[in-house]
Amino acid sequence: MAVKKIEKHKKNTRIFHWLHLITFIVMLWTGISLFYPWTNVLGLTFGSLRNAAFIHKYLGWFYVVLPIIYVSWNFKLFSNFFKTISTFTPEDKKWLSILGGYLHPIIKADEIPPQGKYNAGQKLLGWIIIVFSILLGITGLVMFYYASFPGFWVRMAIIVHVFCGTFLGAAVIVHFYLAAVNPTSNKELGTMLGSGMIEEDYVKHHNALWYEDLKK
Amino acid sequence: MERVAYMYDSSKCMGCRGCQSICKEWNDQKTDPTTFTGVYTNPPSLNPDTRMIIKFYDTFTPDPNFNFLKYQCFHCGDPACVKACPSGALFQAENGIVAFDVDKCIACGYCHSACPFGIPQIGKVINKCDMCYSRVMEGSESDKTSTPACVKSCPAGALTFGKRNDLVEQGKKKVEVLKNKGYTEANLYGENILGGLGVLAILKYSPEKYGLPKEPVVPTDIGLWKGILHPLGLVMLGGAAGFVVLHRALNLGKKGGDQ
Repeated sequence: MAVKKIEKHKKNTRIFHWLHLITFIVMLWTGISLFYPWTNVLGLTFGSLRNAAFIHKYLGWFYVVLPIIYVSWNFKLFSNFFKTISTFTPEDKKWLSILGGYLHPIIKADEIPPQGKYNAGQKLLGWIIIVFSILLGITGLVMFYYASFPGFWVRMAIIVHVFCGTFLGAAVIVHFYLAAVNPTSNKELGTMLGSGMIEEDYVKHHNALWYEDLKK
Repeated sequence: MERVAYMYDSSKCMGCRGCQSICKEWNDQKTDPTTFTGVYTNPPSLNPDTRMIIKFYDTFTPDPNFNFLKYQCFHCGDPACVKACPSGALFQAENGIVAFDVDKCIACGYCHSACPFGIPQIGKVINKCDMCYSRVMEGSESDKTSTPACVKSCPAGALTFGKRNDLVEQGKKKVEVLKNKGYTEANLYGENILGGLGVLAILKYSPEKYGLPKEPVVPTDIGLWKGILHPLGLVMLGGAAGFVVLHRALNLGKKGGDQ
């Protein structure tokens, strides 16, 4: 019997997601190699630390421009996404208080409140990525044009940049783990690869509210 | 090793810019056409091809009168640029000279933003005065190839190179002489600030008039960056990686779907 499938992510979204993720990984890798003197050696993956710095500086522009292109090209998709992550329902609060049952049995989770297309954790991650990427872009711009800004501003920008970069790196590690490795949720990876489809049963379980919406 | 330094006596300087020319020549720096901005200072500021300039001031006294300042890296005893440099290109030698290794420079510009004077200039790589590090380290005493090029070139005797402690004594004496001559604001710039500057300047007027900060300090936020954000970043990245490994190892989360 063929399994009924539902499309979760559109093609443009899938392409954007991977382009941006690869860019982010390169930025994180070069960024770490620049930030910690004892990891300077990581820069050798690009020939030299100077090349790593060059890539970090100029690929940063792509990291900022890519989402702008995606959002203006797919404004409808983005505004829907934005609406979804902007509404935190009481179920979401309950979900967050038990961390979605992902830490069971350390944090007891007997019943997990039904979730929409994105669960509360994913909504939170959406916000983290948007806010921190904007901060990274702004502070990166100040650091790029350091000669045009007072030294104090640039040094503050470095501090904010470093905090956002490492925090976002940590968030992406957890995101990747939950979406691609963790056995109860690793089916999500399939929605970003190939056709963007996911089994109906999985949606019924994981995104009950979204399933209700789709049936209407 | 004892700290070396050179001292600039603005009361002896005649503004010939011999030091500026020899600096370009010894360090093989490109010269570009510049613009006239209304004062004789030329080029108007340091740039990636210019390590030092003589600044001209003609407004200190009611009568027309020139004053000069030799402006370049001051070789702080407590150099903020070295602290900020992420690639180890900048270093402070044992004799106090703040020099750099261009091969290691990644042109990030952190040194420029960290410097209380904003002195390091970055083109493709950093450029700033290194007190003729190669001459001081390798040159010979007999033919004066061990003194910085600018000091050797000065025809007015306004520049002296030597042990820092001796120069401070000399400088203080000279300031007294100037004060007795009626220059009440005369001072020795750089005796104690920023860990003691490696380039001392005898000034006839207060430092602010020359555009120099009177009490510059090493920015404390550089310490915050290295002391707090370094470990914090590691904790966040390492914590996340450790967390997911632990999560898998302990097989946490509800089995059979998390509903």
